[in-house]
Amino acid sequence: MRFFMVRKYALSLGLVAASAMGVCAWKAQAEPKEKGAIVGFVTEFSGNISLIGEAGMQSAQLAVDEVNAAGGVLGGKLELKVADDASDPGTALQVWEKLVAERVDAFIFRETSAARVAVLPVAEKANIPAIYANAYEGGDCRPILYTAGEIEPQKVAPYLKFLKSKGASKIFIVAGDINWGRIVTEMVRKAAPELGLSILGEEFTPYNTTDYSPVITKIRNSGADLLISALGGTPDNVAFFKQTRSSGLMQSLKVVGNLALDDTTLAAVGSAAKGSYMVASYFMTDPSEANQKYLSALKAKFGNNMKVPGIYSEPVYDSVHLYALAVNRAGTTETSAVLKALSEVEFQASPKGVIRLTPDRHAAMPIYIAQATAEGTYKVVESLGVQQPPKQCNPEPPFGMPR
Amino acid sequence: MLEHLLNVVTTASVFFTVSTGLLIVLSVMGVVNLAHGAFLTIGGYTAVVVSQSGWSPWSSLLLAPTAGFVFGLATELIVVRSLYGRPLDTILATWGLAMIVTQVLSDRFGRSAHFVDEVVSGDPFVVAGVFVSPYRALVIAIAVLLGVGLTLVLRWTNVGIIARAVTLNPGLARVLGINTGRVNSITFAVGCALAAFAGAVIVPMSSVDPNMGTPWVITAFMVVLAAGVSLPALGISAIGLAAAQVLVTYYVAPVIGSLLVIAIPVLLLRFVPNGIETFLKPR
Amino acid sequence: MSNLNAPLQVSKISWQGRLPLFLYSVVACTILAPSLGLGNYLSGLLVQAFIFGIVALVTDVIWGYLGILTFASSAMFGIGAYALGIMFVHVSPTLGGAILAVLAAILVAGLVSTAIGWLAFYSRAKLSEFYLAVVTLGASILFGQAVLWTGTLTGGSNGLSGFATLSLSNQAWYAVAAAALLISGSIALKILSSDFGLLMRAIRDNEMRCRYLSIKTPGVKTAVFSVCNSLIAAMGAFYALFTTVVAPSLVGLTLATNVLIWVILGGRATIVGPALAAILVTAATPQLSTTMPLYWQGLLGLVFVLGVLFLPRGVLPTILSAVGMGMRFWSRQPAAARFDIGSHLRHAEGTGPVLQIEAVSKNFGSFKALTNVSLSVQRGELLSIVGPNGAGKTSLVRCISDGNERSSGLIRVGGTSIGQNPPDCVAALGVGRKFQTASVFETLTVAECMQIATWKGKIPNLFRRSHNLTLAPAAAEVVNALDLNSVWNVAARDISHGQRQALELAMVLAQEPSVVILDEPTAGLTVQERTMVGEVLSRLVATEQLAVILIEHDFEFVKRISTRVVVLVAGKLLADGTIKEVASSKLVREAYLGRSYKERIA
Repeated sequence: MRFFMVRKYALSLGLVAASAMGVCAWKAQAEPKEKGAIVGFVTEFSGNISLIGEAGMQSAQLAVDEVNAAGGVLGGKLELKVADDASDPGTALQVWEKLVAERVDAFIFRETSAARVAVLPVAEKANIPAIYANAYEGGDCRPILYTAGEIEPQKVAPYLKFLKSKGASKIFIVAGDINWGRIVTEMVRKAAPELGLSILGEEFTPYNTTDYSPVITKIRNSGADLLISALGGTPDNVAFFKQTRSSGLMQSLKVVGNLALDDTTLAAVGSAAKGSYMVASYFMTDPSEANQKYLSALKAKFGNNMKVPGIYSEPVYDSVHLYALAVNRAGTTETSAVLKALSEVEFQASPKGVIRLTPDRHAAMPIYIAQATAEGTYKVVESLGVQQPPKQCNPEPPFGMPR
Repeated sequence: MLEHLLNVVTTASVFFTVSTGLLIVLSVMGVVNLAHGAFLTIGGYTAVVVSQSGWSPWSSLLLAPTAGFVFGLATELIVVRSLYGRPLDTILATWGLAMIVTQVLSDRFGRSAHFVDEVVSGDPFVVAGVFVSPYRALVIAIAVLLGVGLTLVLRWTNVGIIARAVTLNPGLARVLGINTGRVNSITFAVGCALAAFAGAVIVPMSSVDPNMGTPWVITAFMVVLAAGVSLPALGISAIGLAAAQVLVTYYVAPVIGSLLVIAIPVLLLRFVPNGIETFLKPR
Repeated sequence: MSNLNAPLQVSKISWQGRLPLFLYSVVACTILAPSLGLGNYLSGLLVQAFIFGIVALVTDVIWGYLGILTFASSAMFGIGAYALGIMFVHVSPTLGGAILAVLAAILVAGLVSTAIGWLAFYSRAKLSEFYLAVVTLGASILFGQAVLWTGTLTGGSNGLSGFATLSLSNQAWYAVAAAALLISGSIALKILSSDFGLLMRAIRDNEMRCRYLSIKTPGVKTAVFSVCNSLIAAMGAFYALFTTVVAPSLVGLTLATNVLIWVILGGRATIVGPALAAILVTAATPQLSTTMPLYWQGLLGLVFVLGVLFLPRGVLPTILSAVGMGMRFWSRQPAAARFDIGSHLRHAEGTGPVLQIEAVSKNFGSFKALTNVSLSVQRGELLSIVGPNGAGKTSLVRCISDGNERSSGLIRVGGTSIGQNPPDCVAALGVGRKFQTASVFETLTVAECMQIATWKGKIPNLFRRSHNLTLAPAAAEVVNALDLNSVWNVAARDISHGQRQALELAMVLAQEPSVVILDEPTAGLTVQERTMVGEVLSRLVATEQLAVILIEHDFEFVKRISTRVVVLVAGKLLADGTIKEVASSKLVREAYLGRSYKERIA
């Protein structure tokens, strides 16, 4: 008797397992559509890097609304699928594969470089275009990828020149112990000698450092008058600047230059970063009409929930619009046509002005230098004009099926 | 030289303040409270609420422990109590709780970092060639007061004696009529209150975001492990580990400095299994 | 290992012999069949899910069965992933390269685990149970940092992801992963239902008892730990081979804590439960993170908390017991107590004393527990050690059974010095120790406890479960005399106090020691039981030529059975002789009763 009971239950367990998998499978296979398009937006909403994801999501949602209000794509609606990669490349991979199974037509993503190198092979295998809506160090030349944010080579050298013009010449670099931090430090090291700047010290701090006092002491003792901070991630930037101000170091330096303290993060730092400079293609406080329109649209849509936009979220807005323009121009969501069209369209209502991607897969950007005020906002103090990125991809990647 | 000393003492004060809550819960209840970081974050967000409501920043130093106490009590009654005698399950449940708290705070306040009015502000003053910011002075004062206050409470008050009795021999304490259930609830709540208090204290030096407690859990855990079950040992452990971190960060590299906070307790416990308190016990 | 790590309850219903086979075939069909109709996406997802399933079930072996709480899973997984990544990116992206990388990963993981084991298991000081957890926690963090340092080799914070890998269809990968899962699961279940599995459970229940039964537990733990971690490393390499994701986050604490969560949720010590939990959570993750990207982490946290609160044994055992099934995957001994009685062991000839204690002292700091104690015990003696509380009796016993305990002096067993050897070595020399509070294996049956004792420290068979039990005559006598037959298949924690004392005595005697030390064996026994124990001991001493050392407070008992009495007071040996001599000694009387006023002023 017992034997039969057990067999019954074992069988039912097996059936339950099988049907669960069946349901998953069914959910995974979405139906193909004839008009409209689906964009998958992936960023971090949990884990280490989760602090700026929401601003990007809002920019994406706003852009999608605007696209649909202006007629959508290919006579249908542009649909947005948002996903969280949990600040983990392994999860990112699974999420991208799921979105591929759900038949997204394009990826727009703001993820870390670690995630980026892990997930792009998925898009390559599925032949789906991807737009990287992030500022990064440059160098990624995959055929299916475009980068809608600026890259460091566009910014670092002119930035250093500006900082030098403010009267400082002895540099101390504090950078995060990540690839981006090391690459940027290398760029500064290369550019410094020709500008007559000397580097008195470098320090790489691990992610999530809570106590910067010995680093601050080191900077003070080095005799440097120009501090360049290339810390990655919001928590480190906030902690560093709060501590630098309260220790008196900030006040004793001639010039402080940031490379990653964006608007969103500055709001949390408040007046502690007052006087420090930042270089970026976008500042929330940019008084241009285009930007004001963007900001009021965000405010209208999200009200009190509006997150402060910055260089890590505004490119998402541009990317969505660029993609819609490209699809409409190409008349199809087919990848090689879209990739070609992406290098031909211009988004003229960008908060940055006019944004255009190039066949080199990166974009020319207006570069501004701003200074932090006592209110925790940036005030643009200099415009470096539109900076072309140095050639990243030589030869330029083809628009067809990769590899 | 003096600047190094000041850095060490400040960092040690922060380590100490952040770790006391964990120590108290561990010593009296034998429970590792992995939600410690979440309560730290609750303390930080209390400061956010205070700042957004326009109240005086000093009130966060009172409101944070209050919030910590209330939520800690609730946690103990709902979660920890059911897991009495299952310490490994308690670890897991408190870990899950930390995830829930992070979620709730993210929903209510958003995921980005917050600006918070500071308790003390102003430029640092110079003492003997060293810059001492008002904040540092405050942190050191708080740590000393906390240490002295807790020691006095534990040694000279009834509450303290009861807590120590339950630490040493819960069975006997119960037989002697001590309501160990109530002691545990209050202890856990106090531990969480201390964590929240620490969260409010570190606001001027750190980012206030839903993950702010995470790096501190590991640090607090290591400081407590190295110390053993004793408040004075915690002070020594905090100073020792802070010195290692600060000095090695300065003279070698920050990466190695922060690793030492983990490596030293691991090595220490191999040879001195009960931690620094072994050296403090009278023979 | 203390009860901290024992599962709360091991259900008692057993499977019939044929059933596991049936279950396996159902599971096999469920796993292998869909590979024909499973879509690309789901196949790929399940490959990852199965890999983590294997990691979870291996961690269950380490933690659920052996009782070792480890945070090293992600470091080991990372070793495998990085080995493969480095091989494919810097050396040779071929199948041969992959095999080399897997072998390298296994080797490195094994070495690192052995080092960790040496650090944590071999320490003579009594380390906290959490020490290994702490070491592995530290190791994970350190490894994560090391990966960032060696940037050129490991790709730094970006990792080595996205390299070209072997081209197989997702369905083919699925078949490989499913086969790997089935094979690992089957092997794990087979081993766990063997004698070796019994040994692991014994170590988890009561490691100290195992050591005093001559079992070299540090070696066993380190070996199992290393083998399991090597398998986890191999899984890491497999993961990297399939997903081409090799990043520092793989090495960090997230995976390590996730694995522990899967084990707890699935049900510790069930193998199938943790694998299922890992598979379900991994498969559900992309669905959750795409449908509720802002809330799913909180939801997971809630599931964990609720799971721990309301399903304390884990999801699988709770579900199965709710439908009336048990979770024991191993077969039980048949109902009747069956054992053979072995022949009398001829102890090594030699007329020397079986135990020699020479000038042994033990100090705790400035407190002298034992001072210059010298004693010699011959075969056939039933020696009682008496003395007031705090006299040092238990200290003396500790010094005899553990070479590291004494502060000075020499102890020889059968002429061989015990040196500084740990308890398992001393037990192997022929010293049996019965503890004051009966120290047995709580979740094991009486039969299983006895079986473990009969191994005499030899590592048992890895795959087979022996059903024949041969007990030494001394042990058999205790079993029969104290009626352990009637509870042969009952778990040790469910038998009466007297029976537990008898069980421990039988276990000790099953080792066929040359000297047996009994620490208050009559504590808590009824008068009848006391009498029987006394008779058994007297008989054993007479026929087996055993030496028995007894620590007792019950003076009547001592008088009845002892051939010799030794009095220990304040760490010093005060008297040594027959009952009569000692009882009439003035010194002894004074030590126990003090001097009368008259005597004092006289």
